[in-house]
Amino acid sequence: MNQNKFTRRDFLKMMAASAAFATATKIFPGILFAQNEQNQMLTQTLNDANLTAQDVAWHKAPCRFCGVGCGLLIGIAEGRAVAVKGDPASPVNKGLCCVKGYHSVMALYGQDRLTTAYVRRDGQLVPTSIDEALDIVADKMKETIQAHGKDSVSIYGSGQWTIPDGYVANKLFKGAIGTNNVEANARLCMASAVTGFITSFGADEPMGCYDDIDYADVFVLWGNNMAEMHPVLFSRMLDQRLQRKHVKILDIATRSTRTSLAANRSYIFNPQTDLAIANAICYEIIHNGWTHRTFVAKHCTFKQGLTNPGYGLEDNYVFNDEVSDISFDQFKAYLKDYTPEKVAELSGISARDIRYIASLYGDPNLKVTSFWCMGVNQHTRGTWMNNLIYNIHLLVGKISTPGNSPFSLTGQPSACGTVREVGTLTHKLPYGTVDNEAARQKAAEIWQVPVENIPPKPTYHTVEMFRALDRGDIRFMWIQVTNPMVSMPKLKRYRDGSQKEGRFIVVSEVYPTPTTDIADVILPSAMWIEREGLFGNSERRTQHWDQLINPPGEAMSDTLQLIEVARRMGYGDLFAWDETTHIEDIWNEYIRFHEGAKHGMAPYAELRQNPGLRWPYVNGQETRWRYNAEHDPAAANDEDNIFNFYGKPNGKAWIFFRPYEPAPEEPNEEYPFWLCTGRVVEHWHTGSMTRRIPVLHQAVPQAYAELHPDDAKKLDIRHGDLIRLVTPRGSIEIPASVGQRGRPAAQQVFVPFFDESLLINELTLDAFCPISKEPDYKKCAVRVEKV
Amino acid sequence: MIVKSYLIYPLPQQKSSLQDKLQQFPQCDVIPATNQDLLVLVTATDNQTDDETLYTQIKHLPQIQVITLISGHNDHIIPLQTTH
Repeated sequence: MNQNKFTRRDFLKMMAASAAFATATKIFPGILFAQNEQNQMLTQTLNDANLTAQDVAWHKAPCRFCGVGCGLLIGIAEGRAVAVKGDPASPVNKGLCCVKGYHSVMALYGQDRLTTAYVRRDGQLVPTSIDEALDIVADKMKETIQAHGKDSVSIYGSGQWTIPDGYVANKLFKGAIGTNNVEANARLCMASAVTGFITSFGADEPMGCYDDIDYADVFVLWGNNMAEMHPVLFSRMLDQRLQRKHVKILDIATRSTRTSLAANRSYIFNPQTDLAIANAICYEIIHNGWTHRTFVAKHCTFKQGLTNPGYGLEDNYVFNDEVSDISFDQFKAYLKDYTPEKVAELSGISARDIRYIASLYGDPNLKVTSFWCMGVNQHTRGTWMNNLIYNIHLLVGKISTPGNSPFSLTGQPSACGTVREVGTLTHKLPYGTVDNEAARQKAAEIWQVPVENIPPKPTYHTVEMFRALDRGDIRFMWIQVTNPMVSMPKLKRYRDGSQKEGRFIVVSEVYPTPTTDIADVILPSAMWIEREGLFGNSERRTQHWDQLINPPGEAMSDTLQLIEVARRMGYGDLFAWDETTHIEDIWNEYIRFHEGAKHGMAPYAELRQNPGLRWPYVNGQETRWRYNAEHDPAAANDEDNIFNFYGKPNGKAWIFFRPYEPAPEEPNEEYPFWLCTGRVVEHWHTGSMTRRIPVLHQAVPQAYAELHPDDAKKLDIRHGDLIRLVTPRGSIEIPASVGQRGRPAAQQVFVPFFDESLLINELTLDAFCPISKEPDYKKCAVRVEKV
Repeated sequence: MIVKSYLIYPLPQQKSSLQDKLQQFPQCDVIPATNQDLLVLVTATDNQTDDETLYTQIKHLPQIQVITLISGHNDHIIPLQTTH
């Protein structure tokens, strides 16, 4: 059959219909279209193209965009992905999709897709065979190690790495080469969630799951525009509110968004004061006697850490927290600085509102789920904010039971699966941390390398890794599935550093980006369903998909690129997998790290059959609520205790006193506004894929700066006027947005970061949380000028 | 080429009649909901003029209560600005 019979017009019509179905489903939950009209429309368009429905095969795959992990059904005809629909069998999205998901397959077919390797010769990127390019990468890495040592080479990946990609990268760099220079862009989005979990519970990832949405009476959203960033979960929440009229949604944020409009109540607070608000809620809970005393006595201990740790603005910054015991009474005494009245003055949220929020958490008859994402995590006190939300839930005992969940959402499809579980951060191994001898022994045994190969000390977290590249401590960097020349804060320093003499940059990508612009070698990557893979989503669900179509040209999966380079470097014995079965072989090797009731992973065959399975996977069963013996076999200890926070040696979670501390850079006379950056529903991160999907690009073709109407009026700025934003790090000219999608508070500016032609990260600050090392993209000082 | 999708709310008791009317336009595909008074309409036209003419004809159909644009694709409106 002729490949062109299924026309682009047919494809676009199907995508347009899908978007309408999705919207209708959100407006009328449970709406039905006659006899699966989506398929009827497909049949009609196929008929127009002289194809039959039998020519379209539907296969499951998780969406490759955000961390929700929606299950999709991908329609394949004549070797091309021609249609998408939500998978009704997926418990995550129950057949729903967002606008990015419905258009996801179009991201495969952008006109400037990279199909061949490029090597920089005499300053120009020249098309080169992939075999030769891989030879060059391996030779350059060996040469760099010989000249500058093992810690002069590095890899920087992503929460969009598949699990096999991350696993092979970790094994190659930490096990074979012997450097801990492995980092991922998830450091920029959820590292604070990890350190929050580790410090409070001793084990990473949420105790609850998306089923909590079906049970909770109250949803508290902390700094989290869920309507745009996690739209399918948001739809599920709205659906619950429609079905159960008493359900409430509270939005606590620094900017009014689509989420705020849909919420029952919207609270706009002054940047950074969420720390004080959370403490005020704890104050109210204790002051009013809402503490669940039995739960706290049995399952919690009180702690404090160091204060005033700084902000990581200087190179080689080091901070080691020192945690000490405190009593409940000491904790209570510390909270006296956080009465609702005092915090109202600081935060801008009234004392009455603070009391109301606390009363919902404190009401023993209400189940409360808290959701948060970048507002809490991208924060110079991000770990503390995570701790504080756990404090609230622990004080009232609302945790690890259906509907009672402190739940940190992730931004990327496998931030959990690949970065957190495989451990593609400098300090991590697939099981445990590099500074733990037993963890190194275990890794060495499974990887079949001498334990001495794995260095016992972490090297560089992401910001410091790019600083090291600038300084020359790192000379070689391999970047896969991410676009740091758009996403790094204080971008100019790191862009300039990457182009200094003696640096060598390899970029594995699917489209040209500002990051491929700085590359010495570009390797064309197979994308998503062009290769077999696995992702792990926000609720501990691992999802597998088969290769459904061939990659274009010489494009190759990142997993195979890494294996090919490993073999060329002489490590072939460690990566002796057959190309046809390598994903299954890698999975089987990897899950040995997690054997046991606390983190057991589902077998490969089970994952192929199911729309994802949640770990701990024990005796053929998923675990929905961890640390609760009624749901989690690992939590069973004695008959008196349902709960067991087994990440801590004594099974008790830690309630931390964490104070309010100011942001490192606040508005002043010269730079009188706050600058906050973020995302929009139509675009995925730096836009390298979604900007090539015409419908999404047309919807939001360029970035903009949202201003409060009063500020716009004072500065004589109208919607669409060009304005200049200036910080001590740089300036950009950008159209103003007034009275449109989002509305920042007065004296604040919001700019989305998806647009590579308007790089807002030229202006942002590279301050980070001293514990998680996650930068704060939400707060710095900026000046607004009319051009 | 311009491809758009709309949600259309018909006036009470007018859903079938509206569906028939819309199906008379060769540029239109119509998909009715079975348990709500709602239609999904997908239009495909060759250029801006044809699109505007079609939309004018549709929006004046007397059976329509509300018509809402959901998605739109136009090959030639805004070129992608990249830095490469």
